[in-house]
Amino acid sequence: MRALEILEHPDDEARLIARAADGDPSARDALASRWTPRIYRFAWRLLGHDQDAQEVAQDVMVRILGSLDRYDPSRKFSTWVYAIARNACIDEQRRRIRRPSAPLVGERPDPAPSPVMRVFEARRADRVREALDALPAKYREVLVLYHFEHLKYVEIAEALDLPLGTVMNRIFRARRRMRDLLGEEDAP
Amino acid sequence: MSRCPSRGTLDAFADGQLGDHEAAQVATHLDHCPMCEGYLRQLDPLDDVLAALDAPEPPPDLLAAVRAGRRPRRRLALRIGMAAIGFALVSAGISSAASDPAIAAWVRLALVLLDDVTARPVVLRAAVGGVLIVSTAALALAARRLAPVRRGALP
Ligand SMILES: [Zn+2]
Repeated sequence: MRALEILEHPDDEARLIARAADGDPSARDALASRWTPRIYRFAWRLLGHDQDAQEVAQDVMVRILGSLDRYDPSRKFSTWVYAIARNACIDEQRRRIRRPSAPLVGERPDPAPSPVMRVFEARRADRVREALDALPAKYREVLVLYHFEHLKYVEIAEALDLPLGTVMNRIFRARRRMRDLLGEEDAP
Repeated sequence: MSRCPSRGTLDAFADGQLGDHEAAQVATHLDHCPMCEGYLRQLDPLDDVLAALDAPEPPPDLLAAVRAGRRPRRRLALRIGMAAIGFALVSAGISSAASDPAIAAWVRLALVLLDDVTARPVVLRAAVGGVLIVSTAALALAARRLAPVRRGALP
């Protein structure tokens, strides 16, 4: 898993960032390869829209690679990147505020013909996606950061610039809502 | 909190049962203790549930574009277009809105429309932008012709 791979080698990443900031092209490429898919998935989970997620990821990554000299190494790189990405997602949401809220279901490209298990998995994924989409944005973003991006509570507080207590409350509430939403659907 | 909290405390934390102060202590501990962090994550049933939600793979040209340092085309076109339209609106507004409430209202409406079309496809945005520029310019021109006396009367 990419996220864990990075977290396991924080020193490697710090060196990589320093080299990239100095303009080393291979370091910049490596950073782009590591982070572009993550930011894309992060944006896809928050926005539920493939094209928007691609644009946000491209925009955010180009901006990040262009402003590495402004990165403060005393902060974690991941929280810096997610803070920028999250703000870009909020801007994107604002921009399309009048567009009917993008359906998360059905946005995945090519639901190819699949065996029974894959149909089952896809239906389960649709239900999870519907539940996630039904959450208020402030709950969705903390859940996405915690469960998908594997950020810790303290890191989420830093990325969102929120007090730790607020982050924990939101995560607990978000979890409870998810449980309720998914539990309801299980009921006959 | 430098020593690991008890399992009971971690379980209570996972259930949101701890008070604010103690919960913050645990969360701070989790920031640098992979063991407790890992314990809580494997305990969390939502982790398995959410694992079903796989995001699609990003298209390969996305990474190529990032490596080449290209900003998204739609965004760039949008920014240039919006700047042009904004400039047209502002200059129309300055030249005539002050003396003509109808044009002031039109400029406001146009700005709202502009905000709306930023989410639409490129062709539609270009079309609406073009219509807005032309109509604002025409209005401004008409206002200038119709109200020379009013404008002259202003200090
Ligand atoms: Zn511990």
